[in-house]
Amino acid sequence: MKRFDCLKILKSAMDPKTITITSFRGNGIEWSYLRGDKLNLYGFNMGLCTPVAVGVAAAVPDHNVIALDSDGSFLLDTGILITLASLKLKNLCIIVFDNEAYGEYGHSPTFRGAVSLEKLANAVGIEAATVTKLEEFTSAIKDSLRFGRTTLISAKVETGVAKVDSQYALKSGRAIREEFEWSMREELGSKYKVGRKNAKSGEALGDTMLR
Amino acid sequence: MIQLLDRSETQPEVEDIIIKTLKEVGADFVVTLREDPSVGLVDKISKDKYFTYVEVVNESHGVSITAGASLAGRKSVFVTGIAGMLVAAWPLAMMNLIHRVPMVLLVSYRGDVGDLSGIPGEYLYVFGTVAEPLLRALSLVPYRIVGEKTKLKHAILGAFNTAVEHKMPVVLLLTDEALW
Repeated sequence: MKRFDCLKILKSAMDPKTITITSFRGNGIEWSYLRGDKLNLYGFNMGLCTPVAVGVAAAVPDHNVIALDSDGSFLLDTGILITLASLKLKNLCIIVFDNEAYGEYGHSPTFRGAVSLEKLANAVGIEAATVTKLEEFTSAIKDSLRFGRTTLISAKVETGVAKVDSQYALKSGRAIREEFEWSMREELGSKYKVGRKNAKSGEALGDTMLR
Repeated sequence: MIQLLDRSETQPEVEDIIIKTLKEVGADFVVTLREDPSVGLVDKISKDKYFTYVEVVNESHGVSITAGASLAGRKSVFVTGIAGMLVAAWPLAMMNLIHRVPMVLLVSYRGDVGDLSGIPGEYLYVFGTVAEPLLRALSLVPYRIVGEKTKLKHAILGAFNTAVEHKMPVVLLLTDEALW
């Protein structure tokens, strides 16, 4: 199963207003190509992706959030599952694309083969599934995107990255964050409280680097 | 024998100043892994419906959750100690240097002169020795040491201003009468 095929299925199945957060490199490259920058925050490296998604989900409970994590990144801090168990978020879906390797090309295997993320999640009361075929992924996505609880999908995928013309490599983390911030401002309006403002008019200024 | 400081009179006042100032600045998202010096503060915050309160089991993802909330538009605070900052060095460096996420960390300055919290001295020595070099090593995370109650409000308001203007985490190291 190729991750890029899974992501195409996800793109067609999800509400366009769903907020997405991705891990580093492959997930970010392929998903930013498919989704663009709006409500999409990509490039959160080892152990950061799912926790950032948890923060977003806890902060805006009226919006659904999807974390697109990878096995190497997720394994760095599986303790996030315990924190999640107490939070009981109703608007979060975690998809861990598992190529059983650090990086994209399979040269450095993870311990993933010895660990079931599905069982780990189940152990703390989080609904989870392991999928190895596109039909299973489609079914799991359809179920998870009903939200109402936190879910985790462990998706077994091949190594490698789709050859797509992604903007990912051309953008800094700061630029990606700024684009996300502006799309969140558009989405949330006055509920979005972080950011520079014109002292007189109260108008959002954002970052002068980009605008 | 270690003589523990009686904080029963000073601590509630400090906690109330912090909570009042967080409300004034609009900071309503608080994340913590509980530790003794700040337990009174987080107890009050956890019971106050103004705040979204998140308890974590690892400071590393605590910083990332705080960052996520900030990115989603909530003014966010992480309450921790020096050990927590050490654990969270990786996300703190990334949120500062790569993603440039504004947020404030209220950090009990364990190991500073006057820390009578009951932790064995060799541990306090570690915390006191690494705290500020760690922040400098994380490259440009602005920090201030706040040791006077009367300067707490100004420091918290200033920390949020700097975090937003500079697009980075800002650390307040709380010590002396601002903590103990």
